[in-house]
Amino acid sequence: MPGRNDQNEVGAKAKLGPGRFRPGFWNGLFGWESCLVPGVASGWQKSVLDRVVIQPACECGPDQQEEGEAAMIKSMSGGSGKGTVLQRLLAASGVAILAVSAATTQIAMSPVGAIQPEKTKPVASDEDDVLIMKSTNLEIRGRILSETDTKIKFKGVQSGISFETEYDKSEILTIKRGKRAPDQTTPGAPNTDSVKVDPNKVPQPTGKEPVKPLADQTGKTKVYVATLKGTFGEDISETPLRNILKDAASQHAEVVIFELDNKWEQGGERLPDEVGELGFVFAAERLTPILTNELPTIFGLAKQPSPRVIFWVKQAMGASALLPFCAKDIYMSSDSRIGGIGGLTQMFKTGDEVVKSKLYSAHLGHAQGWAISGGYDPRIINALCVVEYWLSCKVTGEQVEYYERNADPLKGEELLTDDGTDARADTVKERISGDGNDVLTLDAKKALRLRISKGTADDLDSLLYALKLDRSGLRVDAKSKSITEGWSKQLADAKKQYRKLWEEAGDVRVDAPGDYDARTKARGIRKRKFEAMLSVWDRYHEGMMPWAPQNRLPMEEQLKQYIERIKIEQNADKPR
Amino acid sequence: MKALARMIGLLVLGVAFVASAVYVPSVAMAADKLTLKDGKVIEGEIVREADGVIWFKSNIGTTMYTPSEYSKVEKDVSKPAEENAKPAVPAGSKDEAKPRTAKSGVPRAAVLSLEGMVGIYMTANSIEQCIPLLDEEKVDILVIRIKSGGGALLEIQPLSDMIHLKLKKKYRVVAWIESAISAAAMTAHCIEEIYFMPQANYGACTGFSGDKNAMKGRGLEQVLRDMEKISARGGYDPKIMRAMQISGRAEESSVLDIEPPWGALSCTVDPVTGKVTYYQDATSGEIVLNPRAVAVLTLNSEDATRIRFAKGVAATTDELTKAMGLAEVEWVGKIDPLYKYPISKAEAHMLAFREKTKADETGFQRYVAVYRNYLALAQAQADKTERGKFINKAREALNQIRSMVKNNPNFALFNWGGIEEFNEWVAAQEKLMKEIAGGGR
Repeated sequence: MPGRNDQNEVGAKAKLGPGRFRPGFWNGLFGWESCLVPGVASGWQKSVLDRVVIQPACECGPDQQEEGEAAMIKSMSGGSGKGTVLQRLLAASGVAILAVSAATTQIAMSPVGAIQPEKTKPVASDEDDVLIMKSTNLEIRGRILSETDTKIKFKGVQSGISFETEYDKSEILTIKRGKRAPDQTTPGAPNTDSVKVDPNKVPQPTGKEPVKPLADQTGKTKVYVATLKGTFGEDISETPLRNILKDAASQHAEVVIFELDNKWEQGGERLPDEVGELGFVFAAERLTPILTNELPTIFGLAKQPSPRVIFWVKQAMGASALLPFCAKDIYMSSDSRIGGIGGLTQMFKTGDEVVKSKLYSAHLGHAQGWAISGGYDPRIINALCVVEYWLSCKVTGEQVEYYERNADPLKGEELLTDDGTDARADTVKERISGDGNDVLTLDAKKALRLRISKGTADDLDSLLYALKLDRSGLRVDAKSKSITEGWSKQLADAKKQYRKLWEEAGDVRVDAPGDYDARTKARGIRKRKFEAMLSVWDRYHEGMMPWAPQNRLPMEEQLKQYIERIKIEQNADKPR
Repeated sequence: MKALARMIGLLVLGVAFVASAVYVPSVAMAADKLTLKDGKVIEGEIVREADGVIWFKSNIGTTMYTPSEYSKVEKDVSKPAEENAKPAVPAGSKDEAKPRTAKSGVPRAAVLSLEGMVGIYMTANSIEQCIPLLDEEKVDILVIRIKSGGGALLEIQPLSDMIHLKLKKKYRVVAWIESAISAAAMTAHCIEEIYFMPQANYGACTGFSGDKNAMKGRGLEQVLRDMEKISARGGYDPKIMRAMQISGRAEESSVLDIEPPWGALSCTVDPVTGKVTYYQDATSGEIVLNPRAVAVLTLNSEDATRIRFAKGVAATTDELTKAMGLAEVEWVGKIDPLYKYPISKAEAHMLAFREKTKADETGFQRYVAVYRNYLALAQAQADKTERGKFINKAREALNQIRSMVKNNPNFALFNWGGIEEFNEWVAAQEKLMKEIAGGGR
């Protein structure tokens, strides 16, 4: 840029030359965040003195941008663009590119179906026997009428329709026997509970934890259902999640069900399972503390006990895969998946191996922690994240044993993931079909078998039935939809507005006759555009990252610098 | 290259801090006896007691024992027998460490949070400013709640010294870990009593700079040695920290220009005594800790309690109270619904410190740009009055920079090389402004 070197001398006199300040340095020798936060770390690395930005950087190449800057100097200085004091000063200076109120409406929950066979007795209760079928992983509730070594005669209800049939025991994955008086035990059945819990193991979801017996005066349990749908980090972000919890607390919800269905696509095309999302731990960490730390506080503020939180997964790929593990209860739809985080140890291409290992370890430590807080075995997280990790398991009744090695089929062990090397690397076909085992992707069947999922439900009624809330529950989520969908719409509008304001700021030109007043007016307009952008940023910034830097739009601090810059320009331009 | 050279300079500075710090116990040996739950009897001297927790100095160093770990305390065994078999009692029974309890016999505890980048948000200086406030509120138990992804090497030793040499002498210091990665774990490592939150993580302490360039050679050997000393402060087997610092895979560690052993780690927990024996390999112990899925150790709450590194797991202050073995405790501070623990005066100070630091960290480059611009504008004015106006504006910006350094002196360290250098720079700027104001430039 013409004249820049000359003007740097002014800066040199102030002894604030390049290298004197090293903002990048304090990102630390032992830190880890700086390696990944998109758009921020790289911004900090740029010296404050490295760039002169007078006109907002528009969506153009660097050369074009420089032309734009020159035009702005010319326009704002009101001169030819050459040799004015203001221009020289501006060129010399550097600006771094840096990076509900409660609705009282309560909707009585509709029963699962029109037909209810036994009116005198609750359809779903602890007295129910439950069969989990091998082929479908569906839970069937009802009562075992009789039983032999190979057959079970069963009377149950499925999707609201009662039936009576006989099953071959080979078709059944698990039989959970309901609690009933001794005289009610099934003829021929062992009078034992099928659930075996090893107290030395991590508490595994067993499906036997009682539904929280909290109920309001009507005797019904207050249920809040919220849908988390869309792009993780944008549609599914902090504000809507907090607002859902606040609303749920104000409605005295005792059970909060999050239906999770995140977008897993690029350019409109669905991503395969094995694609590992980079930076997924940082992305997830924006939301997980809300569930692990803030939830009790939010409910405490409403003088409510913490609710039972249930994740009903339709799709949890990428960073969102870690969310359900914060809750003790996971249910899945039959075509759902949890995964897309298998790229952890391929995340970094450059640097010393030991440093990469450190960073992978830190990432894994965070992800494991959330799983532990939800009561899941952290080795599942390893298998989801690390290609080189061996994990096999043995399912015995309700108990799952994990082994960090190859499986021994003779002992009834099952291989979940191998080390993905040489001949063990998944083929393209396996990757496409989702049948690979380099990293773990949990589908409904696998999750149920590993006791990670407590059940499979394809619609809300089935889920509520499985939770025994179909008749005993009272929906209190009238505002839920407006919170989540409203946020998505507002965010989309905010992005449009942000971009528009930026473009408008770049289009501001000094009106004729180009005198001081005209320049003042132009600066005022531009400043107000930047202030308006700051206001948008303030409200929606959580959904604007990494969208803004990816679209070469400025972020908060950059806007503040532009505003300061305008103030200085105005001061310098004042007639004397 | 210059920046790199300065960075190395600071790194060496950090190492020098570490090397010069040698903990010298100030108490001579006496004849106390401590009988552990496993029947083992240790002879030495009780150097400190608080709420049943005993710091016992023996020929293997000073170790902290919680009430759950010992069964009997015998003080000064040379005295008549009836005076010896005194039960462990809260520190209040000893003049030196008298608890300043509001309710008789109930210890007072405060939570002090250390969060964010070590060296910028987690600093020894900010903790030191909290000590008078902790004393004012008569705190007995200081719970240091840590949530940090690490930071600068050069702040680790000052933080360790602050905790070990100052805080531990005044309070029963407890670490409560939400996340302690890298320099944050190295900071907490001098604390004998560590509790994990369920979601906690602790480790990944490999030093690096730039684009994932690992510390190597002499510098790394020095940090490994320094962390052995800090491990001794906390009473931890140094093999644990080594496994957090270097890889358990030979191919990753052998290129670091240091002597083996590498960072593999396994251990065996004696089922009877509970004693944990560590091995710096992945084969000798029954429990393999490193390498597993990855090759640098980060402990989660399950593993940390299984190998007795953590004394317990607590999600809330109530759970922490129980885990600490206390029947009752008075949590100091005001209830703020936004926090899971009461906010003491010290914690309020710490929160304010971090808030200003955050504003200054993000605004620093703006402060500099504004200062430089107004200075340049002043210089360009022919009229003295006009120059004065712009000088005043420049001074306002300079004052913002001063205020930033006053709140957090480490800004001076990281940006100017130290507080002296910063003061020199400010003096030079004052002189420059004076000259410009007088028309001399």
